[in-house]
Amino acid sequence: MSMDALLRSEEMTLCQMFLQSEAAYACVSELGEIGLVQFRDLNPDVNAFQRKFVNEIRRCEEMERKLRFLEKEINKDGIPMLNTGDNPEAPAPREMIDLEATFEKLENEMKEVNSNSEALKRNFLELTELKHILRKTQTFFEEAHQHQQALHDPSIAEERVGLLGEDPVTRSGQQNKLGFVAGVILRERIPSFEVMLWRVCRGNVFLRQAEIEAPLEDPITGDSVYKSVFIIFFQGEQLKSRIKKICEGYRATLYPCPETQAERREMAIGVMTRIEDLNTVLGQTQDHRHRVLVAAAKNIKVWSIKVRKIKAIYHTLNMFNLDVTQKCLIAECWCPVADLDRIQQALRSGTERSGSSVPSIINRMQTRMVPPTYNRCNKFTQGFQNIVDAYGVSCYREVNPAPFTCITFPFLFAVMFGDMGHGLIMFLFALFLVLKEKQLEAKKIQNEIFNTFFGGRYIILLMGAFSVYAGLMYNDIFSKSLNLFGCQWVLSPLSPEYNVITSKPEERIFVDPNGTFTGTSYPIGVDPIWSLAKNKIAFNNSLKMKMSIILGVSQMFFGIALSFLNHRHFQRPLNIIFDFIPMVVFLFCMFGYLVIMIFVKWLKYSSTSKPQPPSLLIGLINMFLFNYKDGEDNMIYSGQQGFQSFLVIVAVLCVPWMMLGKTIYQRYLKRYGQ
Amino acid sequence: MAQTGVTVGIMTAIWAFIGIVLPILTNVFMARSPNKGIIQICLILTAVCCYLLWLITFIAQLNPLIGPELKSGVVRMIQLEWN
Repeated sequence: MSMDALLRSEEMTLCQMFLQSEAAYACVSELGEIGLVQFRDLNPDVNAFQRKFVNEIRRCEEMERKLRFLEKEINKDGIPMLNTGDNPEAPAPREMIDLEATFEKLENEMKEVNSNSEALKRNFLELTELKHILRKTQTFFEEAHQHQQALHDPSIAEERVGLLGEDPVTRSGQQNKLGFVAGVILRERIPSFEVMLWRVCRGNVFLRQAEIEAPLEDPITGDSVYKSVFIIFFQGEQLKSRIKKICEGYRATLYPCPETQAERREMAIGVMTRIEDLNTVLGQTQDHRHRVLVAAAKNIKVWSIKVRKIKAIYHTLNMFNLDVTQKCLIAECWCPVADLDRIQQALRSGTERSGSSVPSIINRMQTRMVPPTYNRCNKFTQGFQNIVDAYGVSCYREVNPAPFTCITFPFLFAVMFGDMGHGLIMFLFALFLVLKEKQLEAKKIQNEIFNTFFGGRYIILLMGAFSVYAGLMYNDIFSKSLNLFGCQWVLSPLSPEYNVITSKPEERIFVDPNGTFTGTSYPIGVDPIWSLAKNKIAFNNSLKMKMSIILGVSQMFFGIALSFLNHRHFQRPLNIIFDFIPMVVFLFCMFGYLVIMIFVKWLKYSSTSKPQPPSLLIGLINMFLFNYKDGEDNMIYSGQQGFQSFLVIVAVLCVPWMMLGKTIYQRYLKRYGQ
Repeated sequence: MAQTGVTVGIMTAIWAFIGIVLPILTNVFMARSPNKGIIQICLILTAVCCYLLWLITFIAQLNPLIGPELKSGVVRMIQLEWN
């Protein structure tokens, strides 16, 4: 890319395309693959349902629905979907019918298998419950029989006979006129079931229940539920109907239970055989379903991409206009001037592929519309361009600040972060992401937080690298300092202040730079003695605040200089006179002057200076208040008072210059002509 | 004083090399590469920013106005280890 293309957004042109109706689909597919064109909607006031290709789009959406259903089934079974990472091209329109047929077949098969297995599972559940009932009621009847035998103890035989008027011999384990119903109910519902029975039947029924230990699978939801077997003994038909109604209300399933033990045993055997058969059939159904899904899982990602591409092509085709002769489609698009060759190449190959004899035509149009802003990026600059665009997309052909933010953004982050150890960790993490980027991209991870870090891997890499450098400057590695070049403060034990008494290790000593400082700065970074000092913050604050002012003012100057490039490019001399110059003057008079004063104070004053060096902050405040009462001691150079007053007045004059200058001048021009 | 001059000279030379010489070399060696422009911008900006950062830290310590406040135990350790 030429320097101009890097500095500004690309030069765009409006083009008109004439596409043969048969070739249109293939051409749009080719253009979509190279991704260099933005189509304009030529039918903005047409309803979405009245567009030309609305039927095809409906078919695509139907296909997407079927694919989503299949994907859900595949995920339910936990089958991995193959993701080869290749990018299939959109298939031709006639192949769309084949795809539709395939999806239809798969969907019907899956629906059939699902409904079959649901019916089978319901059957299985019923048989299992019946099996449990037969087992449990066995014990109930045995107890009742024993109870009967106990009742027929000869010692009390006469009384029983007399009371009921029955022949005791006829009894053979069967309750006299007592009917029973047996069924299965959810365990949670048993207490309220019991209470309801007691209340409605006025205590004239007898309920026995036993829990089924193994959980049963609900056929519809697939959850495991715990159920219990119950048997209710009652007397009389009325109670029977009441009991049946209550069971219905509590969704208890009733099963016919034979009375004699022999019949029950027969039934149990029959149920067991049927359960085994069902198990086999269920297993085979599940196997079949699994096989169908595995075969579908191999292709489903490729199919999704193909269907999405078809849909995108038809959406684009909907934006085109149909010519009066109904033979060709007209399209309008924005494209970069530098890429016209590639676009023509794509159109040619698209026309060839569709087998049409008439070539597609593209020609440039003149227009007064403002073209869209297109900044060509590679994988490194894309992250920074996104950050800049988040604050606002620049106008067409304006200076693009993104290439500069590639360095200034991580640099300013590093000035704030400034630790070698933590910076190194950040750098190594980003380095891992960058070196493994091909594998990580192929994995197509869906986690949003990971994707945020991965998308910004180059940003984090640079932030880490600059942080290491800034940590070197602040002499800060995991909050400790390094002594690489020798401390520049010599505390000689010969002088009385530093001849310390070892018995008082906590005593505070103020080191005077006069006798101890060697005269040269620590070569790279902050002297390590400051990390041992109690007043480290006093020094660091001064250094970092002044550093922030210098870096910030330079950054602002840089930004204003870029705006000058804009004014020059768009040929707006008024802006240069009324915007650029007063901004520069204002910035220099106030903050540029402050930066110069910072450097002067650093170089001019040392600890041997007799009067206390003046405070810059107080000096700045006094400058604006025109307060020079403190006298000559606080002046850094002669004539400071006059010069500073001059600067303040100029700065204040810049404000109306910026605000009113251009307006008044343009009004003057309008009123009195050119 | 000499040491100051040497240090300033070395650091200025390093960043001048990165900020002036390398971009010119890039112009020569990567004349047709599409990434030439961005590499030049990055080199120049890096050199300017890093040099400025070093310069500020260096000049700020040339004439210190205050000294560190140390405990006597620390002073003794400094005398033993560093001086």
